[in-house]
Amino acid sequence: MKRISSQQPTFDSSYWRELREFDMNQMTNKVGAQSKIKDLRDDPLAASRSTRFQSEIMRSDRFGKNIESVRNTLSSGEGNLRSALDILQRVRELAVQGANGTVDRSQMGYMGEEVDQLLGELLTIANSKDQAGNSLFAGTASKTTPFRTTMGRVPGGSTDRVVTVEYLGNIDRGAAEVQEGATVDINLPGNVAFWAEQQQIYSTVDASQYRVQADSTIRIDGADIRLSPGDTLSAIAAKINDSAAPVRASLDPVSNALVLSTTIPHQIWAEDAGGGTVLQDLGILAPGGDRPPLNVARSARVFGGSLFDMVINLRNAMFEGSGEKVGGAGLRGIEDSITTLAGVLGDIGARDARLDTVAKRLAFQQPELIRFDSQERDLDMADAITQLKTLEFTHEAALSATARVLNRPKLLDFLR
Amino acid sequence: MQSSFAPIELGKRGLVATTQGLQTIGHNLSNASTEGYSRQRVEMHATEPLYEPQLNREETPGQIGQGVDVTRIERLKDMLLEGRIVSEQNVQGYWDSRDKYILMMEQVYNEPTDHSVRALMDQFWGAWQDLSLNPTEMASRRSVLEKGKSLVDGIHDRYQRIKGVRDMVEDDIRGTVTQVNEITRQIALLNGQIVKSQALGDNPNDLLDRRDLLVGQLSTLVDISIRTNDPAGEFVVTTGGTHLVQGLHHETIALQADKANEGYSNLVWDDTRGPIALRGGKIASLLQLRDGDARQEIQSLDLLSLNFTDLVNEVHRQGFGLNGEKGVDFFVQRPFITNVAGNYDSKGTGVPDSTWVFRVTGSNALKAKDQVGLEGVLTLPGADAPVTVAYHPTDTIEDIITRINLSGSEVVARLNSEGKLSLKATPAADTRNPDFVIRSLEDSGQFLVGYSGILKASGPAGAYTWDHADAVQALAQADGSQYAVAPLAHPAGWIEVNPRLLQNPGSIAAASGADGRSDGVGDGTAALAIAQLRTTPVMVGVTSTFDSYFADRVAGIGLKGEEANRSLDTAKLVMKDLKDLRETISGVNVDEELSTMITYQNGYAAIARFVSTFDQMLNVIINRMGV
Repeated sequence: MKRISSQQPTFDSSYWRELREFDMNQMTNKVGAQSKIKDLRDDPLAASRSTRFQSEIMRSDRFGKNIESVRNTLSSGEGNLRSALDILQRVRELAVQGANGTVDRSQMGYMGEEVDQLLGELLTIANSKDQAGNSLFAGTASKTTPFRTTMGRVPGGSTDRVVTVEYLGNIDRGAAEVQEGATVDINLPGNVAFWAEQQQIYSTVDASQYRVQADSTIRIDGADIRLSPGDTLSAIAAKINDSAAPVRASLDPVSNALVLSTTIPHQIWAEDAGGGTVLQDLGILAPGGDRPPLNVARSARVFGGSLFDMVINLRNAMFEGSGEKVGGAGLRGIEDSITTLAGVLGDIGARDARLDTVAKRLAFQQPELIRFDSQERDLDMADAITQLKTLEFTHEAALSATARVLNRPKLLDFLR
Repeated sequence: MQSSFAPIELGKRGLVATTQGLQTIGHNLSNASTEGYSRQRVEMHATEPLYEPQLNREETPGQIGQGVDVTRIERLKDMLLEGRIVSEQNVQGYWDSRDKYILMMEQVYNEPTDHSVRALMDQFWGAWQDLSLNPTEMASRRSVLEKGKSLVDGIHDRYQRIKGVRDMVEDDIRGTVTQVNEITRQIALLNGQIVKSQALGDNPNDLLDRRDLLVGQLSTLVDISIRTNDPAGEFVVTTGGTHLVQGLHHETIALQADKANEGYSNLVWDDTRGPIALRGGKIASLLQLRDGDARQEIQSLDLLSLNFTDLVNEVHRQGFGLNGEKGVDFFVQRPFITNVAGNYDSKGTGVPDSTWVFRVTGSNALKAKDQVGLEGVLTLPGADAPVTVAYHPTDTIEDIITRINLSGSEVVARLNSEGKLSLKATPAADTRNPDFVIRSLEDSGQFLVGYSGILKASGPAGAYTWDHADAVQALAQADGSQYAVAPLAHPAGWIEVNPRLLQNPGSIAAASGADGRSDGVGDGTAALAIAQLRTTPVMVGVTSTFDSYFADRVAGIGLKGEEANRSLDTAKLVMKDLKDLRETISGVNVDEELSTMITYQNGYAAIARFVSTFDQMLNVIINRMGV
């Protein structure tokens, strides 16, 4: 293949020039975009990995925001509970003073007034809302005011006083995702935060012959418990004890009835799910399938009250002027309330600490992810500019050579 | 002794020969840069000398020469090399057009930037996360709607662009077929002219060059091979074993609209209406792009849209809105046919003849880690033939589900949010089968029957097959609660956020609940469940999560593009080498021609001198001898 036609140099130089100009254009575009990957074909696997990294970075960002939001909510709850704790400490002081036999009846009356005022303050704190108008302590029933008061006359008191406080919120704690697949609770239901004693519900219905008739579900404190046909009272109690609910079931040996008691101080929240009637048949709940907590059977005996019940009892004892009651049940009730409230504050502290750990870990991981993504996607500028320079230099040299070849003298120039 | 004027005759022959030589050189120089021109060369032989060995020969040793004759003007072309070029050129044609269109499809992805469908979907999930933290806010709900609308717009846009590419390829096919028919017509015409001229003994060099040029153009469009039939001398162009041009006769390619392929054209022979098998060249590449790559892109986008809306709706329906409303779809569902049992008259006979169902769900809640304790074989629909999946008593449900998903069948399985087994159809590989329709389900054991509650009976008698109406009677629950009718074609084109929600954002569900009651307006767990769809294995086709789906698609198209790029570069290089070789043999070298021209010029001058010398000698004889 020794013969060269006249057009061949042109064809050759065109071919290589085309390839080189394409490369230069691609490189210039990449430098402009600061990205190694102008088209997906430039590095398909790196592009594919980069998409995963980008999504992960966005998610990591999101989790950081979620954590901040939950911590803010917890922090406002905590602030309010600390105020409540301070108030309870004052009430305790008054109770201790009143228990001391040196106080006379009218002074106790004044102390009762002060406790009444402090009760009002506690109710205000319990019913507080955040800046969006959502109640802090109503669980997920955010637009409901959690505690409803009933007024009435109290012996020894002059005007309408608060006599009962009922909880209208719910026990749902909500959830927020703080890492891949892991969620944390957001809310503080009021019937846990503002509770004092262990609650017990004693049914009075003899259930020794009771058998469950059909597949049914009972729900205690949010945990579903499935019952099968033929289950006896012992089986039901065993299933309740095995479940996730913080409630212990037992049998009253005298009345052969079901007894539910809490293992940590809170209000028991029980209902029959799916239209069943098991708890109603056992005498725990009132017939009719109402929503908790106002659905306890009239015949059942309930023991254990909220923080408000304790303060009301103390105040009533003070109005009565009974130093014995003040120093006995009254003081004990207040001390139980303080213990529970301190426990709740401790729980909040623990939750916050966990979120802090997660936040720190995310803060560490985020720049790592960004670095990995950058490795896949970004252009090494020094490298790119060197390549561009080399291409430009080659281009110049090639053009110069082509020009010389095309300008070569022909035979015609030399013929006479 | 020969005639006195014989030398003049000899001179004349010399002048004619050199003139023809010069003319050919002139022709070469004029056509030095003409495309497809092969240089021509004059072949000269000494004229037949006088005095053959016969009785009336001159008795002098030596035959007396009679000058020069031009025997032939031939073109310098290597026909074997030409045949090689013609059969290789279709490779470049194939990759050239494939490279161009794959690049277009790569660019549709907009990856790895922040403007891709993936990024829009990430923002959509982020909006649900926000809603889960602030479920009482109207603002969070509006944000969810806006992000939903952007995502839907992004999907529509991508669908339109890929469809646009597919339409563009269709137009290209039509145009190229017209071009091919035109070229074959011209080749046949030239064949006629060439044969006529060759029959007279001529060398129709320029006509041959023109035919070679046309054949070269044709070879990029269709994969062909050429040969000349002996002894008839007819020129034959074949493709895939069928004659495209045979002498004066050429075949025309026609286009036939294919209803099963959305009205896109199939290539058939005009006379027999039989199918054409093309394996290389531009047209084969375009057909592969239109019915292979672009169709798969659309199918995978449809798969994404359908699964995504189906999953979000499934969770959303179980959630409660701000106004306590439940059971609302977030995305609009459009069924293919508004018939509760999915009965459809596909053949147009007036009677429903098939059942179009996209998903069937079992009635029993199962746990992934349970061992099934059953033995049997599942027969599921596949691309060409049914696929069998066996299961054994020691398999867990998770194992069986993974086996189904990896089996290559056109049905995928998962346990839905309630723990029930759900089987969904995927897009069909064959254009004759519709996308997102379950074509058959059969179980020789009890897994699909009593265990998960999908079919009523096992074995072929209890199998679900789509080829008759009311096939849903074979399902355990024929009342509509356990199956979903197939969607209208191309979900990516019509998915929309439910317009009811646009008017009333309070109906967007954020709270979960039980027994028909919401857990409270401050509960965002349903919104959280929707946001967590991002990373749960939900089976988008055979990839398990949305993350994997996107990564897989990006890598897929990128690798196709890389392959097209490399193959095109290789093909170009191969062609360059072959064409360089051809140019070496057939190309005009101006200097060479000029030096030959000098030779002929001098030759002409010399002969002219000879003629005038002999003329003078004759002058002496004629005019000066005698008186």
